Amino acid sequence: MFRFWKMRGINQHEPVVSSPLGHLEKSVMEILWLRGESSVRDVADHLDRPLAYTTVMTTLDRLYKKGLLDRRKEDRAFLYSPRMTRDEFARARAGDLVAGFLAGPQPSRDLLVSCFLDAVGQHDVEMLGELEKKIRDQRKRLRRRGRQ
Amino acid sequence: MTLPYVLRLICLCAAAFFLVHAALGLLLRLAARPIIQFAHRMKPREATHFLLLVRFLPVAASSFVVLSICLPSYLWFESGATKENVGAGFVIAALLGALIWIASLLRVGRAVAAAGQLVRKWKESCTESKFPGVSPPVEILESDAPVLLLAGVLRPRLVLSSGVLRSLSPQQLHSALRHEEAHRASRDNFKRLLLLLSPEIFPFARSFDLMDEAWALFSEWAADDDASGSNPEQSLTLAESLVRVARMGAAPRPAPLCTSFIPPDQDLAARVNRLLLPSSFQSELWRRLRAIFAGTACTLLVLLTFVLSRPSALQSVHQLLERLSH
Repeated sequence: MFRFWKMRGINQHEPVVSSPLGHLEKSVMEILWLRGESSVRDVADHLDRPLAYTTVMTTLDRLYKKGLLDRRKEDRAFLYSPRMTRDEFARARAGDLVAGFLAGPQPSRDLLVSCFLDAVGQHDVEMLGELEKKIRDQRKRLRRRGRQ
Repeated sequence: MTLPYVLRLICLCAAAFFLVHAALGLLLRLAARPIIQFAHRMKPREATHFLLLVRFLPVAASSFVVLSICLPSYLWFESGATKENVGAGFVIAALLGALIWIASLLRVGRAVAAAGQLVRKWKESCTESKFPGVSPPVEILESDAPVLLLAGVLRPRLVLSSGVLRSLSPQQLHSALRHEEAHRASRDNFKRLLLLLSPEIFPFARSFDLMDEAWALFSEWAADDDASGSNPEQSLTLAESLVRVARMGAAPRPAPLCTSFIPPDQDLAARVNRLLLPSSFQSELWRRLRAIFAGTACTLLVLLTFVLSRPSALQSVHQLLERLSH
């Protein structure tokens, strides 16, 4: 059974989304989300700065062990592909963060709720400000049209 | 199970009602999104009429089937002296039919009690005031909360908090009150009561939420249109009053039979944007639909007259119902 999973290149590791990604890890994930399945060489070629082949290989291996990538062997090289889309990853991270706060002591839960309320309140205030501006602009336009 | 004549008649009516209503209700639920999209092509007031009509189709059609087909065929052909065995499926359908009505009545009872309690409470703490251009007296509630609503069904009252009174300019207040007055004139609270009374597909499960929410949204838009009277200046004043009241903070959630100036579950930005860019499109859809609905109703009446005038047709219906009950 294990051999079957290995042959299919399906990762047995549970995805770890709670720990933040480093800068290089983020860049590598972005390349894979953009290009799909790629070899170490492909990824190294598309990085914004030149890096040693082995550095990229180690990073891909680390992401594979974190459960974020699948890999399969073709000829003598591994081909890596992301296990989740960018949206799924973002959602899983957000869910993990919220779950972490909710599992924590009462103050951390209150903190989370208060942050949400602040954010929603801020959003409402901004939205009402924008609506008021639109109304003012429309009134000016109407007055100008009335004068003409 | 053996049931006497009258109980069998009641069970037959309830089971037939449940089966027809469930079939039509499920169809309506499946078609809810396209129906709402279609309603968006009409003027808001017409869309409210259309949605209300479509929403009541299942209950109207099932009542029609029960009263015009099941009841006469049973009374005509079922012999009164017999006791008959009925199947378990038939009894379950009858029970579900009774339960959906009980659930509706409970829902309405709760809503009427809550609205009555609210009106009684406000009567004690409100002072009556008259406003130019608004026919019924307005109840002024001593509170800073953003309260501006129409409460009650038979004699709805406009309730306004002193906080709203202070924060709106006379023009803004006038347009806001005209909005609520438009709700009163179109008996929106009574229609809310009818929506609550209309039975669900299954007891104690909300099945027509999408349609009810769409109706509530269109009724707000229609009241906005009536209040502004297609006048761009008045539309802007109404939009200003909406934003001004929204700035006062979240309004308390109104009781089920109250119509609030800013309903908590609706998109305020969409409503304000609509007022800023009033459209002047004239749709003929509602007129055509009314003709189609009237034509269908007439056809059904002719068919019914035909069925009732031929005892053999009613007898076939009776045999079918007999088979269903066993």
